[in-house]
Amino acid sequence: MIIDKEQENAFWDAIEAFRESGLLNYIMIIGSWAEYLYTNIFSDGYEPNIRTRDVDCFYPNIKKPKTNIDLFSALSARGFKYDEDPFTRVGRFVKENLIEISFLSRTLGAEQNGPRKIEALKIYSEGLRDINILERYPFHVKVREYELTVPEPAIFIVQKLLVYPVRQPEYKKEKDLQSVKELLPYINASEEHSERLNIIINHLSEKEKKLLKQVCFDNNIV
Amino acid sequence: MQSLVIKGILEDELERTKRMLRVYLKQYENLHKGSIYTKQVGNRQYCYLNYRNGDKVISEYIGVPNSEKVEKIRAEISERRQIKQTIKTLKIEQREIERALR
Repeated sequence: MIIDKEQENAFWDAIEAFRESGLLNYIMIIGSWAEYLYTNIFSDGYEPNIRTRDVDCFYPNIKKPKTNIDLFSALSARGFKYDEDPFTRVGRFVKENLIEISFLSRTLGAEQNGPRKIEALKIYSEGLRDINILERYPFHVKVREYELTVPEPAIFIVQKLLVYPVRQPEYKKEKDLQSVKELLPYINASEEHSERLNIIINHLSEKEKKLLKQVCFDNNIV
Repeated sequence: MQSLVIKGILEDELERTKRMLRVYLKQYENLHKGSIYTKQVGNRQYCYLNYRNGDKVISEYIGVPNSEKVEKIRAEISERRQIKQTIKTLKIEQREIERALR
C-alpha cells in the first residue's frame, strides 16, 4: 500500500492524542486503516491497495467511561480541527488535507441507525447496526509503542460479506469484495487466523451461514 | 467494476475535501489577519496590528510586547498563514478530483 508519509504521521499523531487523552482503550480502528494495521499481523507481503482519508473509530460502548475524555485538547494541540454536521450533529476531526477522524457506534434493539452521543467525549457518533458484530471479535495489535484494537481479520471479512447484499452505495460492495479477496489468502495461510475464521463462521446463525455461502458463491470466493 | 470503485472513492473524497475546506475556511475567517508592528516611543515599546480593510490599511494598537493579547494575536496570524496554505492545497485537490470525475 502506498501511504503518504504525512498522512501516516497524521494518523499516528491522532493515535498519540487518543492515548494521551485516555481514549485508546475504548475504540476499535475499523475500515481501511484497520487494513493498514493488518500489515503488522501479516508481515509476509499483505498490502491492501485502497486507503481513504477517513479514519473510522468504532466506539462499542458509548456509555463508557463514566469520566470525561478531553479529546478536543489532545487533538487540537496536534493541529486537528473539529467539525460538526449542522443537521445530524455528528462530529469529526480533520487535519489539513490528510485525515478525517469519525466515530461510529452500535445500533441496538429497535433503535434506528442515526446519531448517538458518546457521553465521555461529548460528541455525536454515527450509529450503525451493520458493525455490531465487530465488537465481539476484538484483536489487539502492537504497533510502535501502542496497543491498538482492530477487528480480528477473520471477522473483518465475514462482516463485509454479510453486509454485502445491503451495502450502499453500490461501489462500496466492490470495494469490500476487493478487500476480502486481498485479505483472505493471508488468513488462509495463517494457521491461527484460518482457525479463527472457521470458529467465527461456526458461531454465525444458520441464516447468516446461508447468506455467507451465497455471497461467496456469487462472487467466486473460496 | 474497478472504475466504479474508483469513481465512488473519488466522489467520497470530493465530499470529504469540501467538508475539510468548509472547516478551514470557517477557521480562517475567525483568526486575526495582518502583521504585528512594534513601535518604540522613548524607552517603551508598543505593538500594533497592521491589516488591510478594503482600500485602507488599519493600524490598531494591541498592547505591549509579550502581553497575553499580543502573543495570542501573533499565534493566530501564524495559524492563519498555515491554514491559508491548507486551503490552497485543498482547493487544488478539489479541482483535481473534479477533473478526474469528468
